[in-house]
Amino acid sequence: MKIFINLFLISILTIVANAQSISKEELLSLSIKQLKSIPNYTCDVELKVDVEFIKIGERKGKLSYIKPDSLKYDIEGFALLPKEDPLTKIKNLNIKNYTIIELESESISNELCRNIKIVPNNTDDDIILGQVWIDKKNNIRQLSIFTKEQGKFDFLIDYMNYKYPVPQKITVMFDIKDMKIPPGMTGELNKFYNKEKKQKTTSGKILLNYSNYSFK
Amino acid sequence: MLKLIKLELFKILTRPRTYIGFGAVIFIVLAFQISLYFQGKAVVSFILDNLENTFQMAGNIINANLATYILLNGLLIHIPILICLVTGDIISGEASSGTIRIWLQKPYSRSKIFFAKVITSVIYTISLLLVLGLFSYILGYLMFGFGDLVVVKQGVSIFNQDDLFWRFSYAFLIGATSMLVVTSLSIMISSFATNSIVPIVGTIAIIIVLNVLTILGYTVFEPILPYVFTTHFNRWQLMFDYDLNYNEIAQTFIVQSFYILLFLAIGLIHFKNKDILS
Repeated sequence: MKIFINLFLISILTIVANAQSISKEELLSLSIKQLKSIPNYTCDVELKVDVEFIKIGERKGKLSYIKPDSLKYDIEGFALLPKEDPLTKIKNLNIKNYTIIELESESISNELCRNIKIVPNNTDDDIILGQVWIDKKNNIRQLSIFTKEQGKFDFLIDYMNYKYPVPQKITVMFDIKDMKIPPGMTGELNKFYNKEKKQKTTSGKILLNYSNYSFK
Repeated sequence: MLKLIKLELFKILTRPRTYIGFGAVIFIVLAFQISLYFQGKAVVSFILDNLENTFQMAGNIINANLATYILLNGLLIHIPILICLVTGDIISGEASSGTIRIWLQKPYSRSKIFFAKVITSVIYTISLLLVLGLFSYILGYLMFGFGDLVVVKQGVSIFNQDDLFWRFSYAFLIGATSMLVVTSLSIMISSFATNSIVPIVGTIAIIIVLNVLTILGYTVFEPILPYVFTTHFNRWQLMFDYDLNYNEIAQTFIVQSFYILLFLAIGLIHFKNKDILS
């Protein structure tokens, strides 16, 4: 019995050692290289905004990607899209400009991922701090970015089972201040005496589902 | 009855003041939409600044629906003044010129004459609102095209283009009910008055006083405000809540209908007993 347990532990350690065999810098470079290998494509996209004070139905449309960075949405009607595309953001990282720190691996969507923190060397960088979780296939499964301009964003990414690492689902999580419009502008004159004056910060989500990829 | 209505319509159509309302509505719609064309993006950006920090917005936000919504919002406060100009004069004008004596000697009951005047006033009121709504919508379409409607109240609600026709129709119905309260109030005052100034100025004064009390005296009068008719003037906006509050919509209809019936009943009773000899 002991032999079996020892063998099991040795095999687990071997797997982990292999997984960790490439350095954190190499791992990040590999992920970026993988993302850069994606050719031009079009796909269908479904978009759902989940913010307490925003009522909007699901939107559908087409997404066209043209290398290197162009993402063009063609959505029916008015839509609220994420300001940042996580994969473009990562793809444009010049890792030489960042100090890379590896933390303890974590499980993201039932996948053990290596946990890498990126800290800009230059204080002028828009990114204050970033953190990526990369799975065994070198795909970025989660990304957290703190930026000077837009605050904090978290992205959770599920991938399609394609040759290229294209997303099946992206969940964008963020904090947002609720809307305070003067009652005179909305016509709700009786709201002049509304006691709630402070803007509340709430967390929100955008869910993007991608399908029917067509590579060019 | 139809003959009486035709005669009443003929009378108001021959009066220049009837066209002041239509002219004012057309001018305001034109001026507003031209300013929206040049300044619209800046205004929308100011209102949605908070969202622009987080989202990238895609689609035509300035469109016929938004233009009509904003115009209804602004104009339903001022439309009562335009309504009173015609409906406030409908009985008192004839009392002042003396033609009421001739009318009441005709072989028609006073009730029929009164209701002919009421129906004519209703036609005028609805026509004014239709001109406002349709002109705004058609001009908005020509200038900006169609698109989803973004409504900012306590939060942000975004309605699909194909979800808007019925909302605008019911909003128009609620708005029209509010304006019919104004019409019936001015007819009631008109039945008491012997000149046109009193019902026109009187109706406007009542609306202004109640509006001011609604805003400034909100904390004091809060319990009775749901029963004051001016409180319901902007309730057409209820149709632009994402989840409709049917109770509030029903309450608005009940309160407004009550006032319409009350004012018309008082007006009719007084008109039937009106002394035309002195």
